[in-house]
Amino acid sequence: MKLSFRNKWIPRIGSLLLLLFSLWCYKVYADVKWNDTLSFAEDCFDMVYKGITTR
Amino acid sequence: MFLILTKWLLSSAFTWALSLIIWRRVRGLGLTVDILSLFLLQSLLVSAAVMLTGLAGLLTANGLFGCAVLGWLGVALFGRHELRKAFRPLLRSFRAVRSAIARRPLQAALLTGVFALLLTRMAAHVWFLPPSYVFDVNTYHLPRVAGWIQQANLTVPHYPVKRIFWPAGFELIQTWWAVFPHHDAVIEAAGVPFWAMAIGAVFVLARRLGVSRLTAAWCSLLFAFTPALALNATSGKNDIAVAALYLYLAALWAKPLDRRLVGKRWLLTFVAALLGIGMKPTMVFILPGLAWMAATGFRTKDIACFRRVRLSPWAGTLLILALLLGGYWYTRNWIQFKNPFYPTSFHVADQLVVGAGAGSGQQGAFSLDSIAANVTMLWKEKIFDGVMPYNPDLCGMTGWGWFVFVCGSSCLIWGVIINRRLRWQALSFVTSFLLLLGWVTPDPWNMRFAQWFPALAALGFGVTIQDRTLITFVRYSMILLAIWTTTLNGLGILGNGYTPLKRWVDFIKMPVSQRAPDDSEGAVPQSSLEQRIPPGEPLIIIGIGDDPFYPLYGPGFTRRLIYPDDRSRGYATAMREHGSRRLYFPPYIPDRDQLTQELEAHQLEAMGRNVYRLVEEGKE
Repeated sequence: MKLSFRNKWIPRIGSLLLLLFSLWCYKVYADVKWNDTLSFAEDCFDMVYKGITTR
Repeated sequence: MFLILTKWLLSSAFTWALSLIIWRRVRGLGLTVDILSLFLLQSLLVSAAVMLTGLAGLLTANGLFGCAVLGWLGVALFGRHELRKAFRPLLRSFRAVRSAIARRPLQAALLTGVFALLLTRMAAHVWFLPPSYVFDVNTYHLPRVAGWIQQANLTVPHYPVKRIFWPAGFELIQTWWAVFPHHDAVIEAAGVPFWAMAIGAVFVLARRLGVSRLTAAWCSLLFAFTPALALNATSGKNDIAVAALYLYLAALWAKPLDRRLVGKRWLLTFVAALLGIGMKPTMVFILPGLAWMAATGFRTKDIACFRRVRLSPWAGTLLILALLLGGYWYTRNWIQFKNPFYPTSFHVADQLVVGAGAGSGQQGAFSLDSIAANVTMLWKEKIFDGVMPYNPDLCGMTGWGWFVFVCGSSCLIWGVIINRRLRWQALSFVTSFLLLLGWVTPDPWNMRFAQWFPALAALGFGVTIQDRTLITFVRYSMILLAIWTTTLNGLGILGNGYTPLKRWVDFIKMPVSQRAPDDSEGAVPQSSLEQRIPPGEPLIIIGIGDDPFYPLYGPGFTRRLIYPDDRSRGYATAMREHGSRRLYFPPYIPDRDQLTQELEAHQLEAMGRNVYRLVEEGKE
């Protein structure tokens, strides 16, 4: 029974914890970094978009 | 232009040919390690060529080309057979890579496409942006290159910045990229081969952990997009080279070798370590950590080979060159200042060993307090990268990016639990990291010395994704998360953190010869300085000891800068003594009394852009 639990449930719980921890890390990092990560890319997009629409 | 390119290509081809001839004798350590060793040898030979011609006072395009022509003659007379033999293993290596690609054409095409995107972004950066946007690059890295090219030797320019005496191994390679065109248009490209070397080494390390070839390639890609690494590849700073050499050494020692190969490994180890030490002392700080890694690939035969050391002439030459490249800077400083680490003083256990005492630039001692302070800064602020957009200076940030924070940290924990070899690799990296933190001043910028550290996150990811106990849903979720966070890293490094898009556009519109100062006044063309300073006129510079003067040399290194030691009788007198009629007085110098006095006395006249003209009676 013990062996079965170890083989079956520990990896499952561990896997889910891994994913949850990663998602939590994503939220923490995104709260700080989202805006300035995209600022330059947004400027590029705006410039290209304006370039296309004004032609 | 055609002649310049021909000289450059033939000289580069000679360094590659010689590297290949030597490479034939050190290969056999595995396909990828062999390819990385070829890059290492080429970097060594390019550095050696610049250093030797510099010491001989022949550091010009013609001097280097002349040496290459003599070298080609030597190869044609004595080394034709050697070169032909050297090509065979290279072609075999290419065939092996090709067959690996042919097995997974779709994935290979996808990988190549993503790498090509990043390389295109780097190429745009190198071509369109002038190299003068990073403070240290303007302050002491590139002024050395400009000074060497102007003087055709390795004399340190007379300059207000003392850090100019720090080791300059990477600048030798940057000089190679600038001396032929006599222009800095592509000088930032010097870091790109080291970026490639670093990601190649991650591939090898991942393979040593039992990760499949394809997953290892993806791990390399995830690491390649790390903002700190990708931005530093084209920043003109030397930390990318140290990171690459450290990772190369890790890859070299990650597995045990056959008895016949241990000598080759030791030789390459010495070469890579010495090359790194000649670029930056941080190499010495982080090297001991690799002992853990070496322990996994170490056997008694690795020491036994030292009992009967017989160096062949080529191996001896290689070692001498590496010793020269690693030791020259420290020896020069020792002779000139009685301190190999000048201007930094070196302390052990609070006792001054060499130097004037206070020193400058770095703390020059190992301290546990430094580790504590650096770890606190890392944990509280830097790890979140939140201070400003990603940039090569990494002020107040690690620059490790989205992937490392989101996927890397969790996967590393998982990987360390399930993979014994990763435990050793992690121990090595963490030891090196802590040693580094103990040696460097706890300042906002020091994470640029640790660009190699996020490789651990990519390795942890590779191990975790291949773990069969991971449930399928989580595996695919993690892969998607890795793709998304790497995409965000890619978007975050579209710019360089400093130059706004408008200024990029201005630079793109500007002819390459005009792309120069990138200061607070915007993308000002070089002609704005040319209008104020006549051609051939030496420029007197006044500094305070940490001055970003590189743009004043001009992109073609045409302007001579003079830093007058004696300014006690006024700037106008100093200008007359040095035969100059132009003065550059930076806006940030707080003490401006002397300048104001001379302006009021009509000895000097302001011309704008911090340039002042000497007023002489009756004529200019």
